[in-house]
Amino acid sequence: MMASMAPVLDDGLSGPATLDLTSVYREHYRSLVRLASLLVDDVGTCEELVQDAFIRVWRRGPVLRAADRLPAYLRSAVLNGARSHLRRSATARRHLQPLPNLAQGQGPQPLAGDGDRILAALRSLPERQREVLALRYYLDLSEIEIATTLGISAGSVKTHAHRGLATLADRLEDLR
Amino acid sequence: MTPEDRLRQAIEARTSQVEPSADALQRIEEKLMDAQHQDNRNRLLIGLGSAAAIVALVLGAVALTGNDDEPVATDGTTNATEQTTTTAPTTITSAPTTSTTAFTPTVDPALPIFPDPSTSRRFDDPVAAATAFITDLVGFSAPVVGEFAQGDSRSGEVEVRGFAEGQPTVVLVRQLEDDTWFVIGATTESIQLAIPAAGDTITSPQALTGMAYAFEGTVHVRLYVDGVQEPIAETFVTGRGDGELGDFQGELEFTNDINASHGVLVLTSEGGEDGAPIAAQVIRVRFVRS
Repeated sequence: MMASMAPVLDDGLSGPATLDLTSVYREHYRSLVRLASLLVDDVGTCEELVQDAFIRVWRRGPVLRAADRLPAYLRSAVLNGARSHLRRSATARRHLQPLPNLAQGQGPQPLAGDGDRILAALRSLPERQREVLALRYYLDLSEIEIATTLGISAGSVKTHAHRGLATLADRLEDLR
Repeated sequence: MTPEDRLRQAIEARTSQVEPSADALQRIEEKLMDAQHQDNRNRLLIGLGSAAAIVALVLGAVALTGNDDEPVATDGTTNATEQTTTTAPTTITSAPTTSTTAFTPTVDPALPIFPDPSTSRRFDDPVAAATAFITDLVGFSAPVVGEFAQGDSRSGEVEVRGFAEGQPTVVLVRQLEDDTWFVIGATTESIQLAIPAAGDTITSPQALTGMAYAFEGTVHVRLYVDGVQEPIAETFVTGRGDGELGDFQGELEFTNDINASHGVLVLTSEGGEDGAPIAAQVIRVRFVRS
């Protein structure tokens, strides 16, 4: 029943610029949840972030006149959401006492070898550096694509990637 | 194996574990329909509000015009009618009178950093609130202001940079009163104040600790009291200047004789050709009222 009401990207255009939710979902949803999972542990939260990104994109249909902007816009919305979530969590941790009875979120399974520690090292990097590395090493985006997603210059992407990798190399050295 | 290879391998291992829930598409569609219903309700309320405002204006204009006829009420034979006529202007003219009385804020003063809730200054747009905050209070000279990124239904954030390539300062905004937007904080990666924290009660001398990097390591600290435009105290603390976070410690001295319950602590790094702030952390603080 829901499928019959599936909203369409109504940006005032007809023809090829009009994308339906289902096809965009099939093409991008999983990879976006996985991208978010590199930054946020709880998979349920990752899904919420991606769903909110879809909602934001849909409600701002006219922005998507060129369908080729859609992936970058979705990625950007997910990263913004993840960033806000992490900041709110950090603030909450500073202001609130831990509540032992709270149900634990749906965390990931431990990774083999030193995978968990590598990801922990990734997450400990400054925001931009970890986002640049996640976009580069998970989605294999080019510097230009990363720059478009993050709203920064290609030069800044290069700098963040260089610094992030250097820090990571130092920390991985410690992990040997 | 290089660090890049190890990172790529760990990312592949993590992401391959993650599978979306089966009903995710349905949940998106439900949320989207809820959002659209909410949009429709908002449009309806705005329409009704506008119509009510127009009706009030028209009635006010009619009533004011009708006031000119008051002298007719001297005729005792039409007393009942005159009483009715003179009642209307009295009631309706009270509306403009209300707008000239002292402004009474309804917003909780514990939250908003900007605009000062004790004034009548308000913003109906989050980006406008963030822009005015970063220039008027923080002192950016030519901010590059990003788009509004929605958080929950009544809050979000706006990224602001001192210059195009500059580091972002994230301005947190929230709808608090009559759907107007207030800034409730600002954070930046390069200035991380640990003590005091947002909402803390501060007394002089107030310890300042945290981590920062800035031009020559220098972080400028200003303390404002609600209702006062100039800072009541200023100092500097020193982090690192090489792009890596370094510990800072300092003290801020100010008069404890403060006749306000709240204020704002502003930490900025400065740079650029004009020496204006280019990144900021801003928190709400409380005072022990004298």
